Amino acid sequence: MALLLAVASLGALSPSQLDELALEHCHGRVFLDGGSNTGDSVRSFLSGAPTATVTATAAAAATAATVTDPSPRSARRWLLWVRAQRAAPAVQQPVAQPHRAGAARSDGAAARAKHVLRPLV
Amino acid sequence: MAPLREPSTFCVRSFEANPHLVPLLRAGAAAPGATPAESGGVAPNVRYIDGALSNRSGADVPRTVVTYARNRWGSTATTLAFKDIHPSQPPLLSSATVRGASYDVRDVLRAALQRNASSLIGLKLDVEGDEFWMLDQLSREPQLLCDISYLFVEFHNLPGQRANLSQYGLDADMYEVLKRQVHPLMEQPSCRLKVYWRSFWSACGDVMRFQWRDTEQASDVPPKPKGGKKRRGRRLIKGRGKGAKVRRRHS
Repeated sequence: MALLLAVASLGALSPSQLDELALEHCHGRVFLDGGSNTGDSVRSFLSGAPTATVTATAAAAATAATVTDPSPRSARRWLLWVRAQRAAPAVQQPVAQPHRAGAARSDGAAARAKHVLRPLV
Repeated sequence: MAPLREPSTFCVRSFEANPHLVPLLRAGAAAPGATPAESGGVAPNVRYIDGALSNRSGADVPRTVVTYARNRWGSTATTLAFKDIHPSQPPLLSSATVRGASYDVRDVLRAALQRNASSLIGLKLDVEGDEFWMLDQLSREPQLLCDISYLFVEFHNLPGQRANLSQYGLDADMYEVLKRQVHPLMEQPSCRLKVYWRSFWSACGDVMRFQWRDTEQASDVPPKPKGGKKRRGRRLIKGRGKGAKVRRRHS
């Protein structure tokens, strides 16, 4: 039934539009870029840059939840840690099981780390 | 996040609603302020689509294209009124309605999933206001939304002036409304959506996209040739600056 619905709604795209998408050349990984503008977004994506900041910020958000001492010294150490994470070539996403991890933390920090990852400023 | 470290393994389908820009993109033309060598051409896994990624599909859908600078990149398709997104600059030089192809993001997602139900999908939206309608529709189809793994969205309502959305028939606080719709879905264990980030550009470690207003793309002034300008100002001589004195005192 779900397949039938999917096929029916696919009628909204004309055959020429489907040809234009050329999805038959894709093998399981697709990045849809809404709004090319100057092509900067594609270049940024191809540079592999999203992983660095997104992952570091997720890790920072999770770590921030563990910082209990708000003194400048702690904040400075935290910033240094974030910088080190940014410089690291590969950082594992700390929230591997977001649903359970989010439920376990009373402050919801892990959930926030998963949901809306705000840029560091 | 690991797949994003292998961007060359992705099929990139980049949609441009402004027909004036598509030939430039397909030719791999250098972006404003960049040298041709910096453009890098078009990678083999990238395909620029002549059409809008929006909330409806059609071959001849109208849209507004605004010209804001007299250079070949100086125009944009927009959904919200240009002045509602850019109240002060750049200037609105002219505006025209053009017609062209439009791809409903839900149809594109279904097409990708029909090819491969386990497709790993990243979606970036920088669609000048259309994101509110697209996300609202997507959030009402939870399974489809949850088949996306990474979602990057540029929101175009003016900061601090959310009321400007109400004139479009949207909730003035649509940003928060969408969060309330999307977050619970992400909590479901079966949901593949891992990242819902409000800014693709900062996710990429780049300057925020709105800073393009100060770039050559938004300017009528021809770019100055790079290099050849002599450095002005004092140069810190090693061992003679203030910091050097401090270091000597401590050593």
